[in-house]
Amino acid sequence: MRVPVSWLREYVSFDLPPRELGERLSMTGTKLEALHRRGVPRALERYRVGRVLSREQHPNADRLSLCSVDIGAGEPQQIVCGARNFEAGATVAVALPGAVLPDGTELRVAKLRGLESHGMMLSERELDLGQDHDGIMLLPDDWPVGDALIDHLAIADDVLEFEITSNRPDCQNVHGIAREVSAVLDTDLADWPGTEPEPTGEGKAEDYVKARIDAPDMCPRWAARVFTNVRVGPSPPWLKARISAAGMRPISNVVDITNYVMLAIGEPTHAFDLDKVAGREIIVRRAADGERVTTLDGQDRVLDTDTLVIADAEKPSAVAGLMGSEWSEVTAGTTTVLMECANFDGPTTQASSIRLGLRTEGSSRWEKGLDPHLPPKALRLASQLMVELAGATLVPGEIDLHGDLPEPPVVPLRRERLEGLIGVAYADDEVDRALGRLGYEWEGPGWRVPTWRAADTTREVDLIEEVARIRGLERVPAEMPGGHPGGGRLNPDERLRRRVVDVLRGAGLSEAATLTLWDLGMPERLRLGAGDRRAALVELQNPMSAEWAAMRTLVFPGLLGSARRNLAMSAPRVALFEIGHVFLKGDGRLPDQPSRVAGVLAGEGAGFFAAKGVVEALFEAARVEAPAFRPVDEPFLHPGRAAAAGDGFVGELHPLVAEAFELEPGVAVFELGLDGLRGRPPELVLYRDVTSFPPLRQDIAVVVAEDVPAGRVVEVVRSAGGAELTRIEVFDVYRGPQVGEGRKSLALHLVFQAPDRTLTDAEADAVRERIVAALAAEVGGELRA
Amino acid sequence: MDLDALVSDAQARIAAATGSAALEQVRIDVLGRKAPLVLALRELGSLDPEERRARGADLNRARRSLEELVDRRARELAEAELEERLRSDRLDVTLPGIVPPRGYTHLIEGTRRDILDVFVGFGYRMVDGPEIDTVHYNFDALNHAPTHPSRQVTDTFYVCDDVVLRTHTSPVQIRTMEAGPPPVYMATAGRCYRRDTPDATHTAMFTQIEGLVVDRGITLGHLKGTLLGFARAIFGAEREVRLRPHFFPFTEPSVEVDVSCFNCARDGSPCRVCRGEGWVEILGAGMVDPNLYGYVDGYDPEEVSGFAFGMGVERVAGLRHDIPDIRLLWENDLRFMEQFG
Repeated sequence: MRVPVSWLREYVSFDLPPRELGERLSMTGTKLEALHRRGVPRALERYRVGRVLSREQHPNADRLSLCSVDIGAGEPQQIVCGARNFEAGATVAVALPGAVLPDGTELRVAKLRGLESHGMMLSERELDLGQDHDGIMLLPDDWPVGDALIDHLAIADDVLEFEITSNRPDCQNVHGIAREVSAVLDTDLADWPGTEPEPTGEGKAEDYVKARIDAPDMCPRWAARVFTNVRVGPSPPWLKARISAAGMRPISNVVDITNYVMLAIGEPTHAFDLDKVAGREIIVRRAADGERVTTLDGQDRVLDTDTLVIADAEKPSAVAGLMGSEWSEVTAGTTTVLMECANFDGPTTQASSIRLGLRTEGSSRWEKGLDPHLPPKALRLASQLMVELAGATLVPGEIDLHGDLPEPPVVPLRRERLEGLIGVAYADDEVDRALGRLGYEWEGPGWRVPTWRAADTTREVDLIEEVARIRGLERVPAEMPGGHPGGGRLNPDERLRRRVVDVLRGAGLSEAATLTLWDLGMPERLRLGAGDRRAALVELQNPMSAEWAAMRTLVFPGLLGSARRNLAMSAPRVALFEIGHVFLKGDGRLPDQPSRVAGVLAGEGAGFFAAKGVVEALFEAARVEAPAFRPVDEPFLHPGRAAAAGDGFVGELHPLVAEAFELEPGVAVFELGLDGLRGRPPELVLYRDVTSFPPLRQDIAVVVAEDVPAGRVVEVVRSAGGAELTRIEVFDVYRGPQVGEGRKSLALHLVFQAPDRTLTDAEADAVRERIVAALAAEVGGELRA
Repeated sequence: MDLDALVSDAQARIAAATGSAALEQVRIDVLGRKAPLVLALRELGSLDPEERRARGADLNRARRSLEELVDRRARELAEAELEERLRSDRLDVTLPGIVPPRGYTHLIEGTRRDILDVFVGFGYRMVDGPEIDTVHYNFDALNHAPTHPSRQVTDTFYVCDDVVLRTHTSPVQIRTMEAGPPPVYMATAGRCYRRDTPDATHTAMFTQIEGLVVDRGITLGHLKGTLLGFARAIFGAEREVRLRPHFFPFTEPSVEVDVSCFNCARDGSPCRVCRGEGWVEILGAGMVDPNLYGYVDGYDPEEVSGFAFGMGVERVAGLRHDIPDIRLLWENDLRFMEQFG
């Protein structure tokens, strides 16, 4: 909301500089977004009210006039002027040499076609008051010549721009902001602007137009007045200045009046050319499905039954709350005006605004819900201006259709509750004055809420908020609450997450953060089959782009893009991991959302075993027994270089997948469910004796057929070894002439240990013999000499 | 055997030994099992007692003196050899070390940990909530009017009509109160989603940290004190906070919280962080709206009161580390990440 300071001063007086005022309002809930300086930047005294004493043809130029202009003090000034829309006697705005125009130009005595010009007579556009540049601005003749122009016209203004929160539509107008100022500074607020003019027209309003509301749920109130003898023309400069400063464009006096009423008191107002209203009938109704209207912006719009229209006997004349139609528009020839001040339902207007993609100054107010008691105030102000500025005649009476309007509530306020919630002690009159200035009235057990706040203030806590903000939050003391009586702590998931992060970082992987959103082509790029649960994406109804259309079902693919980008920037080695949720369709209303950890290794040193080592380190750090890494078919992994690991996998990318992600072959990935890393909680781990009885170490080499996996050999050794075999490690694989074609030799490091005695060589040898026998029997293994 | 000649010959050989190995050979030659002196000592038994005593004393004296000589020479040689080794072992210590591969902490993770740890220190218990949640938890139970703009499909990602990608971590407030009675001191963190067009300060996905306190006698002053403590822990001990009234559907009163600018203090130049205002907005907060208690059991607004706050981790990280564009946080560029190790 842009609030011209000169306008604000009409409703409330203050001595603070504009920025300071804005900051005071920021601290009470009306946030100052910006402070604009508008119009003449400085040297205001160089602008005067002048009167043209004479106007003659310039001797050396057909299109220029030579004028003598009275500027009050001193000699009349000679001014050369190109405009033709005035005669001697006209009252004009004069800028004298030394004046600085709004565009920054500094005026000097200039020679135009040989004759000196000691100043300039100004057009509206030159003063940034409007668009008009067809001629100079003609001022009212009762403005005393020689007066400073700024005393009559806001040729310079500070404009405060506020952010208005969605609960405060009452602040989307100058008078509403003035009310806040009056409360914050504890000073008087002027009455609602507008005085009733004499209704001197013929007949009564209802003689001119019949109106009815067919959709009262969408339109709680519809009121209007009729004006005859309207003379449509430009608005006076002061009105243009105010509307421009508030960020709107002056159009014509009638339209400007409607905008002025909205900006002044917050009621969007619409003017119809009553002669164009078919049947002189107004029906406030739902649009028919497919009904069309051409709005004032020239757009042809198709409506539906959830849209409220102001229709005449034949067709919609306006989309309620949004925009009027071209065919009932007030134009230069309009003489009879129907001025509408209604109350439209906020949600209805908002929904229509979204559906039609049409947001206007009006709809931005309606959508927040406006006070149904505003229309009479708005009609009064509009009537005054129509009579004064458009020479209109007000027809007696008005149309005002409404059912029972909601009574604003009376809300009690307990002092101890106020002080108990804010933590501050308040004096009696502080509370009374804060609420009184905002328009609350004490009524018996509580405060009568003003109509313009009735939607937002319904409970004691809402009154508490009002008092606290107006009296200032600076005085709220900073205190520390006690905290949970049982103490604060991280939850087990967070502790696990941190352990995993720390282990992976220690293993040389960097943590990444990637988008959880996928495009719909991802399952195909990952070669996921149609039956794969991970191909059934949780899709968004309203994605922002095709790139982010569904939720991920795997974490690692997001890392592939990061790996590629880093490799492209010549990182020799990329090792990244991420912990995050995946989203899988389930039976419940919400998808399953388990946490997973994934990693990618690319570049130098990458490969299956590097990735598997990281996974093994993870299991070890988590104190979880490492799973058997069995070969696995994952569609996105190399079929010969992929292993299942718990509820996840580790492997090198399938060459086709690597290609789809523009990566070289050999990139290794892993992904595990975090739940699978939930080992015994650290506090439950018990001491195990490792020092009393030393271990016995033996190495063996066993020759097996090439197709016997090492894991199988280890399994056989483990089950044959029994409890005393505490550790098995494959430390070498040898292929060569010494072991023969199609065979390989695995070197195993064995550790024997008993918890209750020192093992003898004889005991170890016995175990070893059992192992050798089992190897021979189960995998055809032979000890290598 | 001429003992004197033997001893003087041995002395000469010991003195002439130029290394530990050579000395060892000399030792074996003169004091080893087959050395003449040792053989002579072994033959003492065959002499008569008178002669044995005199001869034995001479031989033993000679042996001890040679032993001492060998030991002394051995120490000399060892010292010299150590000197030599230390000299030859000398490294150019200015050459680089062998660095084990090291992974970097992501700045979001690091900042998230820092913030959570502050609140755990203040006595908060951490909980988690789902990223995809129902409209009930994300909006309804958080007192959002049916027409609240953030419900619009232009602002919120919908999975279906009543399920959304959560737009804030605030649904965890309701879930926490449902899970048990007051007192509540809760902190939660996680990803949230809004249909914001990405720019330097917005991304469609972001990380939020939320806190909720409900207890007897909780005041707005407690909120201020808590956030002051937080601001000082994260942005520096000199910080101040100020509360500006604002509007959120689920708190009343609601405030936006500014922290005194930490950039201005660093240098005197016109401040790019606070644009000269001296304050930087960091989060939204407020007193729990009593309507929320109506959505859960066991919370009587006449008995307890509370506050809640929510902040963007990326914003805190961006402010703290002077990052011009938070989209950098999502690019996982190792050159960016290594700065924050």
